[in-house]
Amino acid sequence: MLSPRRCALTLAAYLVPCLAVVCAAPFVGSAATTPEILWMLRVPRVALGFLAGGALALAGAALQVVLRNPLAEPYTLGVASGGALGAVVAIMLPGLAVAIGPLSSVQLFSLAGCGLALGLIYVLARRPQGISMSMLLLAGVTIGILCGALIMLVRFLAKPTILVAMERWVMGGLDVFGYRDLAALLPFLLPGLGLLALQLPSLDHLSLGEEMAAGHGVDVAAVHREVFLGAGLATAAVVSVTGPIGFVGLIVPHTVRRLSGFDHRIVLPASFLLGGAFLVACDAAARVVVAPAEMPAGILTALVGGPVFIHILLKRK
Amino acid sequence: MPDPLLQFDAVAYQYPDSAWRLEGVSLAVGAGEVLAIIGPNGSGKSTLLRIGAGVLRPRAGQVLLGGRDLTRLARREIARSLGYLPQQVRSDFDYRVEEVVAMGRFPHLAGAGFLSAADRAVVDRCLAETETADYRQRPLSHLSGGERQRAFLASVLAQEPRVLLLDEPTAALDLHHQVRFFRLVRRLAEQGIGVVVVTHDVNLASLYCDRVALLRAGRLVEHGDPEAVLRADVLQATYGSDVLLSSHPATGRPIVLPAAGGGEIENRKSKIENA
Repeated sequence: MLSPRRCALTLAAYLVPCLAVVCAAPFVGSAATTPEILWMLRVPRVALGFLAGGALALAGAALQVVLRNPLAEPYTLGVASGGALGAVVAIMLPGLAVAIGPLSSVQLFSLAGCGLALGLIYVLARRPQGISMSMLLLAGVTIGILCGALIMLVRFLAKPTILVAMERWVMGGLDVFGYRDLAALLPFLLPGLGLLALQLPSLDHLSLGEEMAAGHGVDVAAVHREVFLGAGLATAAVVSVTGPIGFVGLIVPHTVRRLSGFDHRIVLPASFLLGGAFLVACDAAARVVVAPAEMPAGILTALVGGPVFIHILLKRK
Repeated sequence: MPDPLLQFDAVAYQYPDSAWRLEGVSLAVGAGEVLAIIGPNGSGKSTLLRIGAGVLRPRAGQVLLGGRDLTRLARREIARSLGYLPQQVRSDFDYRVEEVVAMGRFPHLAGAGFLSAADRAVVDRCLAETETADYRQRPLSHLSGGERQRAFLASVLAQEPRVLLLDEPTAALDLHHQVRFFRLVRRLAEQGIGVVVVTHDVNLASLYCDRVALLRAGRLVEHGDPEAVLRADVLQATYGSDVLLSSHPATGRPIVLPAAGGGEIENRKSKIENA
């Protein structure tokens, strides 16, 4: 049984190494790290990477529970595909450029795409007694495929010179300039993370089934709604700024469960810390591996994460 | 009955896109009493129990929990006085037994849901009561079907309910664990808990329950003492001529056997004799 003390100790065991990674990461890179590069480029980049990786892992952990599917991750919702479609449309039609506050045109269009996908999936999966989780899964995957086809269509119609920019966005990465992108992330990320955090005490019950959870006193429909909305908002915020970064939301929660058990009051915050540190570490490595060029972090998360995950699966059990 | 804990008052239900209906069922269970709901497949037993647990809302009529309309109560409030063990619970994650039992304290806790010393004492008591304390540290995957079912029951008991709704709790258990489970149910009733148990097993209902309610095609057709409900004419109307009514050699309570006469065993016997 989880006591507050054991909970704090376990989370501290995650916090210390993750913090070390985050503190060291800004100093990784080309030899000449001037204070300006450090403070204006590296620090906001590391902060962005930590928040983005953490949010993806946290959303993945919660979705795996409510969808009752170990393969669920933030991109299962189809929200990210909507975001990608919005982004490539914005890249293709620079004439439509608009910017509000810290949000660039691509980010705005991407958010709009996420919002549309989220709304469409909600309408498809809504039932009188709440959101149907099986419909959510099917609708999310279908919207994802549909958006994928539309992205292909946009690319087919686009001028070859623009294709490179689209290609680069779809790879996902953390190449940010200053604190503006960090500010663009927060308006949707914070409410999303807040909604997910509120579900901490209820999630374990849902893994015993919806009826058992309801019997224990959990308002199942409310938890479903809030996880859907929270994960949707957080994913939309991340995708609009970084593009799609795969694998973090899938493997980090499973890694935490292997290491620390299945109590989601541990799994959720620990996934946030580990997911953040993992993306920061991958991004730092991506700066070094092919220096002076930079590899998109999304490639490394999959390249590193895949084998590590297989190792964890084989080692325990 | 002076003061029923849980009362079904002319409850009706219809699933969307289905002609099947549960019609006007009125039943009640009081403190210290075990009520069995029996009936053939598709008679509406589990639907009735789901309505009683507040998982489904009745289309007509109402369910009263301690005299209050169930649909007006919050889930947590319901869970503090009503425990519901659904059919065939399975866990997506391999929790330890004591973790599952501790989850039952949810309706009594606020915030992150950490247990106080008093909550831990309740968990310990429920583990002891269900005879699961010996393997409280074991993960669910290391338990037998009977052990797992008692662990889930312990989790429901940790809510400290006054009414317990059990949906075919012994369906997947062997004879030993069936008897052990129903003896546990009787002990809980002796402590004053009112129990409603849905079961396919007419004999367990007859031997361990105070009253039996028989559902057929969404209607309550018989209701009363096991002796009053389990009559030859009622059984014939419900299960056809494939069953035989007898009485338990030790208790005299009615028991129901499959009627031989399809002839398979006799045929085989005569074949052996001929050979």
